[in-house]
Amino acid sequence: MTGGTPKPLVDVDMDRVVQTTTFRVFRYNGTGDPPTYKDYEVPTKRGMTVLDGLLWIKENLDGSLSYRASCRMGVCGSCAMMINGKPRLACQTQILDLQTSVVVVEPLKNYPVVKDLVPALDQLFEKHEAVKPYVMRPGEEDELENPSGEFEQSPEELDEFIQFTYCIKCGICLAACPTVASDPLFLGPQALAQAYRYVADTRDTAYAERCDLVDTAHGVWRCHYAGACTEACPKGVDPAFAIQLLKKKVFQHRVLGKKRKVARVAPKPTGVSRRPNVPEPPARTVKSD
Amino acid sequence: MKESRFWFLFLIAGLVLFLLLGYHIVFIHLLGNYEANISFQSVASRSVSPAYAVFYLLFLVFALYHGFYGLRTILLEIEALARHHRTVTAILVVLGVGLFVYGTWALFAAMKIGAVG
Amino acid sequence: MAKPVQYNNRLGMKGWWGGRYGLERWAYFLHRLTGLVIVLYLILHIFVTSARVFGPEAWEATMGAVGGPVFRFLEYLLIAAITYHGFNGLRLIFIEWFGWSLGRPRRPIYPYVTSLHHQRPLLIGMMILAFLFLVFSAWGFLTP
Repeated sequence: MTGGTPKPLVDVDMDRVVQTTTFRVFRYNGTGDPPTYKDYEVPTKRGMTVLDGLLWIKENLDGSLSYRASCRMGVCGSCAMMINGKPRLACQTQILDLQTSVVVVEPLKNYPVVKDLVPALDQLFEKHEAVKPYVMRPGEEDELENPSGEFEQSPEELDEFIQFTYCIKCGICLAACPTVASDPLFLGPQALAQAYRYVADTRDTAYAERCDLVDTAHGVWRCHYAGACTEACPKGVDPAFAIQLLKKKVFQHRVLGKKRKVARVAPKPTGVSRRPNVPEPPARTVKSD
Repeated sequence: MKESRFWFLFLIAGLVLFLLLGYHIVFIHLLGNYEANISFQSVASRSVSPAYAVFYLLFLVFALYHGFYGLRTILLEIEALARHHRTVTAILVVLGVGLFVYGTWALFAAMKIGAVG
Repeated sequence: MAKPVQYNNRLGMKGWWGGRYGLERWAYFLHRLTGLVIVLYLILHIFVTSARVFGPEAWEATMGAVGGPVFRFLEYLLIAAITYHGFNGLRLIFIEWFGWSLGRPRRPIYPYVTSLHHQRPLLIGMMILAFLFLVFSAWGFLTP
């Protein structure tokens, strides 16, 4: 063998354009004119995500294209959109993984569209707020304002709900849910999963109130385990699972009258003193009124 | 009554129907001679039996409840009806009770005519 | 400048269709469809079987109207719908009431294993049972 550069076993040239992908992008001008689809040819390299493609279009072909994106690493949940008919995070979806030369990009279903790929997420946040997503201890508000210690919770009790705390509020599950598609009053997978997260949290004592909140004609019972939310969730949160567990909890509370374990405030350790080199904590910066 | 109780009854009715309907399908529609099973003679002989009367009454109650709660679920999930859940429920209750009354009347009326056939 | 108007992108009842999603979503769609068919049939069935009250002639006339090979075939389709609805319904009762077959909550580490993966053998098992029952009923239908 003489001359020439040996061909590498694996093509690792990340800068080589391996295909030209047609981005068929949903365009809506935000003034009530009917939406249209516009095609853009995007030179595609290995590892390029749909978000990279949209950025490339905005830089090189059409500066008027609107979309939401921020962290470009699957943490902020801004870039959720319909990609080839399924809701996904644009920053986590590699173009070549879609195995097609045409990528259809549309705004998330079931949300009103503000412009192009930008959905109005109001209903997501309103429903999230409606299930009171914070620890409540009725009658012990003072303990929450001025804590005297931490709540005792075992690692096993934490495991019951920690999966559902990974929600990044991207809104993908509401675009996937068949009930949300036709019932605007349904709380939806995101809010119900968060309702379960606090129902299962032993530090929270508003168990009865939370059960009442979801036990309505458009509450937890309108979920039929179609599983689309879980399938679509980019963070593995499994909202459909949380909703089934929530149904079980509401059933236990409402029909069987079962009580749930409550975490108590850990007592102050006795017979110990602060080491002299450990400084006192700084004074509170947030004023409580 | 809270939604959870209705839903719980819906599931119970579903379980009961699984057994009752399984029995009904296997013994009326599948086993034996179907033509003979639905002849007036055979139907009349079942109609006069108190055991069958109880069976049909249970069947009627659970099937109507399960069916109409299910129908309500579907109707409530339609955007145009979602906000009128009291009206939808009221209409379905009237329809369901109407069918129950008619079915029960037929059941008892048939018990009397059984001897004629 | 034009007043901003939001475009309504809600799918409505079209969103019930399974689309590109997995088995469970199709199971949901079929469950809903078969449920609707069965409840309509139930209403019809109550009126048809009440014909016996009006004597043998009325009964035979009604049975004659809903007899014949076409109705017999539709009846088989109905049994298929009921069988599917029943066995899938049993799975849904396990899942929605008791939370069975869903596994336990776990920290989401990629690749994610979800409750869908855990209950899929149950779904497939129920479908096999439904299929066996339908084969049995086809045999019952062919041998009068």
